[in-house]
Amino acid sequence: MAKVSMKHIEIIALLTDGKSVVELLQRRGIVDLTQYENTEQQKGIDTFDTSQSIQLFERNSTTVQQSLAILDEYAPEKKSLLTSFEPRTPISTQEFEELAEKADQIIHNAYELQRIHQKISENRANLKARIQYAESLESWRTLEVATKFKGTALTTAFIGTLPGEWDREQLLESLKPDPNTDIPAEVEIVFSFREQSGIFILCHQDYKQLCTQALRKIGFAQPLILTDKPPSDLIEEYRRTADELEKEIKRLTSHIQNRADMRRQLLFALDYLSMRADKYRALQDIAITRQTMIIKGYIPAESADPLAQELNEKYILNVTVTEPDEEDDPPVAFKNSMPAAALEDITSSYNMPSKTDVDPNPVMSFFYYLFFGLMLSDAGYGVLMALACGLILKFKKPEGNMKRNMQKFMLCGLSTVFWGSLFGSWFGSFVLKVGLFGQEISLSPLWFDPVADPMKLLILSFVLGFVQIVVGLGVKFYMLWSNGDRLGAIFDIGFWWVVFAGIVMVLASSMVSVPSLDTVGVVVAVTGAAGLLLTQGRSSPSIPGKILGGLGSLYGITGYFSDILSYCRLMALGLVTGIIGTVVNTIGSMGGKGITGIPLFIIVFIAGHAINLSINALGAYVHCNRLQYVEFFSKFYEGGGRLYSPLKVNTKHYKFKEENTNV
Amino acid sequence: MFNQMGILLAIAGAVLAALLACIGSAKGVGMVSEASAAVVIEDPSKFAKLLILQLLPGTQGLYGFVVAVMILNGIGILGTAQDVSFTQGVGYLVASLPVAIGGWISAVAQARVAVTGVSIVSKSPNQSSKAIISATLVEFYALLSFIISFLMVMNINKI
Repeated sequence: MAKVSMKHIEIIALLTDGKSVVELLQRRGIVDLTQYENTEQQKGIDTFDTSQSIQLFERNSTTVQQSLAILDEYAPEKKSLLTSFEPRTPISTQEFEELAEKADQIIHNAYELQRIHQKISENRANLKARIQYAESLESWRTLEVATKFKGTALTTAFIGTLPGEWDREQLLESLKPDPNTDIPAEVEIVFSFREQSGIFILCHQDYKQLCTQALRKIGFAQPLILTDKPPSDLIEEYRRTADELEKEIKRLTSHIQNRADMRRQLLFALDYLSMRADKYRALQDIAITRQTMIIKGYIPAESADPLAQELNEKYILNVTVTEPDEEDDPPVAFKNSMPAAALEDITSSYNMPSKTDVDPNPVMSFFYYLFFGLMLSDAGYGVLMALACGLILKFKKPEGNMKRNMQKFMLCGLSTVFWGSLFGSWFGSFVLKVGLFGQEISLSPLWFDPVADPMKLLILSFVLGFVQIVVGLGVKFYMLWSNGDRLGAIFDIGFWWVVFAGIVMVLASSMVSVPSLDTVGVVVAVTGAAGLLLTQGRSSPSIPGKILGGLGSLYGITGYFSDILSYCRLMALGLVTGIIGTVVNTIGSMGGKGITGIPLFIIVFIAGHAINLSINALGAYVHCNRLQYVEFFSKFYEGGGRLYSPLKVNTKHYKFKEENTNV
Repeated sequence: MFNQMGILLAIAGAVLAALLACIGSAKGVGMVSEASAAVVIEDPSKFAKLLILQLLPGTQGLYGFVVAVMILNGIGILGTAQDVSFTQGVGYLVASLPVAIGGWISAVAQARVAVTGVSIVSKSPNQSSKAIISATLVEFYALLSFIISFLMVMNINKI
């Protein structure tokens, strides 16, 4: 049960060793750097400006990410669902150095990949345009001249479209200025559809005027595409270039596909770049003079000496390790052993403890697992959860947060098995329903069946809630007491305990027959209340203030009351799981024992319980967190600390061995 | 005549519990999912975190469903046949109201909180637990409605 005790560390090193020292710190991953602030405007002290380098790393990193996405598009990698549980791939020093040397080349390749991808997109767009163009020219294919053709020295050509369907006779008729005059012209219908027809007319120049007039009347329009060459030639040309484009696209695509082996290198580059960006960001925190640099930060007390020793051995520098001052704000890290360790991120996602807080994880862990199990409350589901998490832990060996989560849910699963067997719920009432297939086994509840006696479960929930709140106050008592505020501990917490004890006696008097227990209870509760009334206004300077403060604090009883009521969610969620599980089994067994009945049962059973498990596990998780955050933490936990986040090698894909350098 | 009225009223209660609570949940889950979809387009990796928010207003429908099943069980439509008096029928109908209406309204209210939670997740994914906890504050009232309906339905056959 502890927060890690932090020491302040100051390293003064030669500027020439600068990068190398920071690198060593990054590799060790234990120093949380403090940003240097030149508040006193001391002359001669400066900081590194590495923002440009950082920007470059980030830009490169984006490109690498994009090229990975491109690789995934052209040469997708087969991934199983379980991949996300796997740990990072370890990489040897030698491999690291080889790859690091090639880093520039890899990034260059990433850009290259992007260019090829762009080229492919361009070609695709081109190809599409060409195909469309060729298609729209298709109807003009039989025209033997270019659609731009205007005629020869002595003739005029009209090439264009008319609305609607036309044949040659109709057109000739329409060209006549009056019914008896023919216009001598070569007339051709190039195509004729219901919406539109394409026509070609060649007449002597002398008739140009007449023709134009006649055509205007019937809605003649220029063709949409004006070409220099006969359409059939052009179509051929487009087809040819389209074929070429297609070949080019294929060639480029297979080029990318052949580079699928780059994925490994790109992932490495991603890690490498993020490492360097982290380092350069750290460099910005460091104060420098002309010859030296000053690194300040916090380090866990136990690692301070070994690090100082190592630094002194390797470099010429001065390391000072001191206790943090009162006004310092050292970062907070937890150090717990297993059951509590898995819950650290639940606490830290609420708030890190402040300097005065104790580490709440160990106390919380007991209630956390207990409540989760009570809310999920089905032994079958518990077995599944514990088994799944256990197998992943064993075979996939996840690391970091994933490992913690798996451990957490495995323990939650075990607690669920515990409660489920107390309540006799195994996949709802599945075991009873197995009777359908011949053998009648029933696992009766080891304690009681909550559906038959929900009040008992409700009272159990309130009792557990009451216990957690009293324990929460106990932690507060401990905090006040160990900080020297012993009177405060007795006044603020002790008197409440007295009040609670009285109330419990009154409540218990209806269940056990101890003579005049209720009277004693009332006396005890009133004594506690009187104590609160007298002491809670003590910080107020005036007498009326003291009285009001005392009265106000008694009002706090409603707060405790509603906090305890809040634990009825334990009962509600616990009931829901079992009932829905049973309903799933009932629906499943509706088909009877026949040839349709059994497959129906299997399908309904699997789907129904999968949904029930996922929804109720989510509910249990969320409400379990809430009970800790709102009901439990509010009793003693202040929060507001800063999470310990040392400069370290923060990679996603590869795990680097210690000795690696990243200049 | 009155005996048949009893069972009809009880069925009406089961209908209300399942119907209204499920309407609320459907609305709620729909609202949050729409908001989440917009975030997932930008960043598919946030899907898992958003899924929790999407599912939160879904529990009310579940509570309504459970109460409906308990009513059907109590009046013998599921399980062994029972005689349902007129008084009991009215009892079932009234007992379904907390989870029906409480579930409906709390699902929508919770969905509103969750929708704002979606924007929290989209901007700072690390804070997602705060968004989730805020949404569960509303959930508590659905739980209270459920518990009351449940306790009543369980005990109505005693009257």
